[in-house]
Amino acid sequence: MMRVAGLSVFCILLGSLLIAEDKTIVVVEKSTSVNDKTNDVENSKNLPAGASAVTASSLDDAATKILGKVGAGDCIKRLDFRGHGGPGVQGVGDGVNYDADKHIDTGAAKWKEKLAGLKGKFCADAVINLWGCNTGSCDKGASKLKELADFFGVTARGAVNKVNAGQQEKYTGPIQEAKPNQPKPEHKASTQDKAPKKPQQKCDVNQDGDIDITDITTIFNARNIATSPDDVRDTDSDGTITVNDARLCVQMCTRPLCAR
Amino acid sequence: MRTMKKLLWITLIVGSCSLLQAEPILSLVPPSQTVLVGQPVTIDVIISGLAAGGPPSVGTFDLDVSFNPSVLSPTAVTFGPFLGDPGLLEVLTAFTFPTGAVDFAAVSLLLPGQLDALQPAAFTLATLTFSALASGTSPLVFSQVIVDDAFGAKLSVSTNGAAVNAVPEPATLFLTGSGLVGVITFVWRHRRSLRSSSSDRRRSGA
Repeated sequence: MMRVAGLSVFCILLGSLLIAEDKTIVVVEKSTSVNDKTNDVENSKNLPAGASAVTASSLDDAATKILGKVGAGDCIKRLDFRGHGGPGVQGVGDGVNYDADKHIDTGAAKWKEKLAGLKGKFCADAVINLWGCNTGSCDKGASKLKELADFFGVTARGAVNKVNAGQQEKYTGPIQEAKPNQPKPEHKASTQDKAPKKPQQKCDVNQDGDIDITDITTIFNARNIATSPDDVRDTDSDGTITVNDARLCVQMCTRPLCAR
Repeated sequence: MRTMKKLLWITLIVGSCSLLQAEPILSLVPPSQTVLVGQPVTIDVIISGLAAGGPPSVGTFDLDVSFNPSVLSPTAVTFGPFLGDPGLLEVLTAFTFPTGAVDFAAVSLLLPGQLDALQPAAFTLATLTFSALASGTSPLVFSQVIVDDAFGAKLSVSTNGAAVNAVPEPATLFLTGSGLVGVITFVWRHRRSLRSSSSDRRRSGA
């Protein structure tokens, strides 16, 4: 009898090991702000294949719920954090109002304390994905991902550009990646933020794309005023707005007689 | 009469320019005038020395004319039609009266070719109107001159000022004069009366 019982327990244990799973878990940041009511709803959509989602209101809450999805013998294959973010910052609970208990960030090191229980729970080739907007960008993003990779011993990735809620699986922008015990990666700038600004056109005072009587009148009425040479009203860049600038702009009008 | 005088001045100025082949000239016309206190004074701002029907044409100007504020007070600025019709939004104009000066400016919205066709060799940019406040003489001089051609290039111009002599009204003069005559007569008669009474006393042995 005792041998049968022992054999049964052995079989159960062996069985649990044999059916151990690689888990894909998505942590969805709970929306708490009046202006952010549906972010968690959207972020709960379009999950990776086979993923299970948890909604977290803090780092503690996230850790508890993540571990709740990881059974004996399981390992975390992929761990995604969906929520607000910035360079080197991932929201985990309230991305709108800063709270050290609710962010993986470059400031207070509470995330290490709060998420320490996840150590050893990752598969050998696991990946942590931070999907906050621009979380992987700049030197802060590179540094934060390096910290995560070294702390958990797994690859850590972060989005460099803006990420739309619920569209993480369709994200095509640049990704920053750090590997454990490897040099910190070269920082990547957000390609959205670094888009060159269209220079302001001289004479187009209201910057509506047209040079017309509205612009000419503004320049004319500002005559004899000293200004900086890059003032769009100072056509000849001599540091003073004069009727000369107005007349030069007349010849650049979009339509005859500078009509609107 | 006034128009004739203006035409005469323009002819003289244009003639001088054609002889001298000089740069354009800004003139205040008439160069000298006498007015009665309380009467309006008009001054034409004339540019000459341009080329009729061709460049250079005036595309914009910004001028200041200074005067003696104790003698004259500006009341109006009327712009000429040669930079465009403001009613058709062909030109923007503006003027102000800072102390002791008239500031007036215009920028044409017409194309260079249109300005060439519109402008003769000499024309009136604007007419300034003053009121003569008190007797005295006020010079009128250009204190700021910005004139550009139709393409926005600066035009170098020389300037001629003017002067206004304000005199009291005849009625005022008459009354003042009459009063003075009356006073002088009274004093003369009084003294004559005093001399007569003195002679009478000597003759009577008093």
